[in-house]
Amino acid sequence: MINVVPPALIFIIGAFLIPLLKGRLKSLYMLLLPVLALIDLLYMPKGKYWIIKFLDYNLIFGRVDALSMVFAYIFVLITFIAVLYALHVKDDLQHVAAFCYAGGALGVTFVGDLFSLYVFWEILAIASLLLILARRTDRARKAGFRYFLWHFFGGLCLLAGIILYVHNRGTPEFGYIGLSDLSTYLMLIGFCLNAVVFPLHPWLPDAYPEATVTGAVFMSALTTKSAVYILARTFPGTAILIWAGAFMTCFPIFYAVIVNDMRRVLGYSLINQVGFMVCGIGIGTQLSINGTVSHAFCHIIYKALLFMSTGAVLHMTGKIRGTDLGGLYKTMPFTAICCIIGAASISGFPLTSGFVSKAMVLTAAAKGHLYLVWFMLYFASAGVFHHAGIKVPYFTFFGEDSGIRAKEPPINMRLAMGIAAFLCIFLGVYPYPLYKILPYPVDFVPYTAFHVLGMLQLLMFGALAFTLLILSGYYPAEMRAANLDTDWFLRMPGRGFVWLCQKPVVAFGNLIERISLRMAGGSSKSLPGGAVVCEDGVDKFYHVGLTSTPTIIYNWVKHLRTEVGYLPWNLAYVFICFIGFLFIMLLLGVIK
Amino acid sequence: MIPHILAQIVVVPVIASIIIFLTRPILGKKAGWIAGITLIYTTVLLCIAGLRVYGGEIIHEKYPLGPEVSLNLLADGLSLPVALIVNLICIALAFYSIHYVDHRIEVIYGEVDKKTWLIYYTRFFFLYLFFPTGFMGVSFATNAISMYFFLELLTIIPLYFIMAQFGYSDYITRYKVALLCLFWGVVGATLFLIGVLLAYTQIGSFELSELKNLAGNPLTFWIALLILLGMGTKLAVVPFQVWMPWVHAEHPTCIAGLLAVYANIAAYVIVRVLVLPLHEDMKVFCLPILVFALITMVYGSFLALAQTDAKRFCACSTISQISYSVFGIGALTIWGIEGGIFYFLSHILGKAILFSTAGILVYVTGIRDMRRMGGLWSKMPITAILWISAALILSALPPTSGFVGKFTLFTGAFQFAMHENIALPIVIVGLISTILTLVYTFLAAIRIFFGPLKPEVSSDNIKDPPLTMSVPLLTLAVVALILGVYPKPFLALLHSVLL
Repeated sequence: MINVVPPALIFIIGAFLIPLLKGRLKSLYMLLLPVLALIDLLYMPKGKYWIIKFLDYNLIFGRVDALSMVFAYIFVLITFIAVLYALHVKDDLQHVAAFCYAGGALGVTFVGDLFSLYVFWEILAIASLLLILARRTDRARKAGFRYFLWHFFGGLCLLAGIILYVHNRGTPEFGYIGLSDLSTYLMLIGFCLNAVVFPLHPWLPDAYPEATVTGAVFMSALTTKSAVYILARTFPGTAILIWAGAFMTCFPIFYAVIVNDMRRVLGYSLINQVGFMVCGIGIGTQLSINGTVSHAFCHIIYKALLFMSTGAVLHMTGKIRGTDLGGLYKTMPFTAICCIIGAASISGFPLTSGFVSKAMVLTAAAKGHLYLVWFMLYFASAGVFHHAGIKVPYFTFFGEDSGIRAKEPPINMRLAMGIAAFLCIFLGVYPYPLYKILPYPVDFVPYTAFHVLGMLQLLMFGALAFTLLILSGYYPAEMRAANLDTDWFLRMPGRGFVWLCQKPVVAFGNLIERISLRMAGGSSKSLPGGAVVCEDGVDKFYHVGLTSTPTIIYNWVKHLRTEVGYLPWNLAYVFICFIGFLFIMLLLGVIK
Repeated sequence: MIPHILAQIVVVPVIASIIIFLTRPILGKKAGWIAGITLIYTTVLLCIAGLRVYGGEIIHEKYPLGPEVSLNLLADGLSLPVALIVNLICIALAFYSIHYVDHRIEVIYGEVDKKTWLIYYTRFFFLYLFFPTGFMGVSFATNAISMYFFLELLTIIPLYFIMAQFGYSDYITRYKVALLCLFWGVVGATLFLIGVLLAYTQIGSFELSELKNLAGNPLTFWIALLILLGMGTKLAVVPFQVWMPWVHAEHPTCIAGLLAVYANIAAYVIVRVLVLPLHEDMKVFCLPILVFALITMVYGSFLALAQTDAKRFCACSTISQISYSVFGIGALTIWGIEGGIFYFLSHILGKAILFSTAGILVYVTGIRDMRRMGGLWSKMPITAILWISAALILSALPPTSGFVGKFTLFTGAFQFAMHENIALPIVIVGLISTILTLVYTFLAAIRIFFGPLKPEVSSDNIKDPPLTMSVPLLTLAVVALILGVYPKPFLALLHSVLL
């Protein structure tokens, strides 16, 4: 055993101690846990360790190499930022769930065998479910239930795949898997559900807006990115992921433009950005994997920043719909600036972290001669500027003034947003610390004239398009509506299934119940009653019948005697005695 | 090495009884404690003997009482577990009786002066101490006549006198019930005696170890039939079950648990006298025994379902439960017999708890009708726990000893049914009908303890009984639980004899 502990354990065990502390001590402890985890990470050597034997298998809790380390660093970092953001929350359930969630993500990052992977995968699902349910509104409960159904399905596919895989190969250890037999397909479906690949994506824009203000920050970072890590580990270079990823970047843009709830916009934006990562995994070259990883790193920070700023608006105003908001820059300037920095990062403005990371994936696509893919990714970059880069800050903080004059959020939220904004700019200006921890050696230079000019061109024309549309009135108006997504294919049959259960199946069940209850009711009265009747009868036989038999015989003999008279009675008496005497003589052998 | 260990176990209760009788004015109030402590002493002796038997030794003690007559005591793997569990129940009920007899005296004789009270109180306990003597004598007897003697001792001294003096007269007067018990007990024992005498004419000895010489004898069928009928009367098998609801229900509840032992120990007698020596000759009785046992199981359960009186309910339950042991023994396979005896032990534990809990209910509330009780959990939680543990033991749910017994005996029964396929439906129906026990015990529990608190039992003096009543029963429940989780010593002991 080596002298470091699994960081997942620090978080999960540390989580359960949180409810025991109070006040400042609790806040300090919660901030200390990610720091401890970070120190732990710094001391972890590369290799395979923390191996426990379970039945016939080896469970490997530590498979440490550059790929897992970089994800672990960002998970711990974002946990620190998100915990700082959530310090003001009084609900202990959220804190415990959040830390378990982070622990699950760290667990997924470091495991080397499929059984432990499954355990941590489910911890991720359950802890994030608790973060949704912790909002305790009716919508949140319903969304949580749907979230649970989706993730349960994904978990089952994963479990089926794992069982088949271990059965075929005999060991749960995994590294590169690749698509070969049914088990790998099932596992891919399981992973892709968490990685919001189309068509398994509707749970994210459905559930994330219903999560708590602080919970959404955790959720934006952990579930999808740990799935990205697993895909990068197990299915790099799988061709279908290129097209899936590319499609994933394109279609959410349309939804994001029309939806009203700002956090739902960010949810669709999440799908869009993860599409870049999945596409990079699919391409599978060193450059594209580097691009995926660095994009994941930067994306976590700026998506968290966006969720934090919109969450701050929700926290202070109670509103999150674009139709309700606007003109908040006047009273919440700091939040507005953080949101703009996040928006700029996600759009890939030069000097922000988004720029240095997104370009790698695009270049990898181009280098791989995947022109259509390159074009789709480019289109998506423009789109993301539109819906996340412009729409979110504009309609929330600028745009039509809604008259709300909310104050700035509490200091911990501002501090968290500030740290994240600082990191976005820092990594954009000086990306080399990030490049150092990437899995493969980086010979990519982000700040070339080509890249900068290309990006600026994209962004400026996008801004032009937006301005023209707004000024001409053709921009689609913000309105309250529900959007039709692929989960329609589940909701409609789902409704039909519920009808089936409520009407025909329940009617059948009631019929069976009536029949069996009638039978039981009938027999429960008749059978014991019959037994009592029997018992009374037998009782009478012995205790009245048998006991009165001598009396009856005596009375009969007496009656006979009085009726018959003395002479015949005495004659009969003598006759009987004579026979008896003869019999005894015979028995004794006197008369032969 | 403790000398004369078996003799001590059998005779010490009688000595204690005499002491109680003689020290009536001085120690009379503590008579129950004297009885209890004496029985704890004999149980410790039994445990020591048990360890010796478990180590492989068979303890055989011979006490010649005259030129022709001798009292021999044998402790082997079969008699020792029976003796041990029975003695444990005797201890528990001795402590239970300490308060209960006081209540009975008050109810029957009203307010009496101290001297009369002492007379009645000590009378109970010196009669009570004949129970352990009788049971230990039956378990350890090697001689058919001494077995008969101890069985009749049980019928006459404790059962008749205690019933006549302390019994219930709610439905019929207690003297009539005592007479009923006496006559039925005597009929059963007499049939047993006739069978034994017939056996004597064939083999010239009363010793149980000589009985195997009867094998192949044409009269063996009649001997076995007579002994089976006699013991069947004691076991309350249909059609001899009518005495059980009356006697068992109207007995003072403190010894009702022992009456269940008295009935069920006839199963042990059958194993010792008929099944072990005359295995081949008993094969002809397998199917009839199974059929009658099944009928009794089902009949007893339905009868129990129909009862509203708490004590009569437990009595009818006994009818059904005893037949489980008979069912196992009737299968005549090793597991069947082992399971039958183990189930007997589990049944007496569970029935002692159940009956005594019913006694607690009657003692505290003064009501015998279960329909007038309801919602008593809030008032008497410990009593409720006791009833439910007894229900668990009797319904043979894991991890109680009942489950081990039922599992074993049905394994044996199925082994038999695999040979004689005609018995297969009987065994299957028997197994399914075990659910009826679950139904009636838990239904009764629900009616008595759950639901709304009925007005008649809502007064403030309805509360848990004193500790001397509940702690011994809890101990019995713990013993049943331990036996259920770790039956290996007992099963090993039984197996060593049955192989």
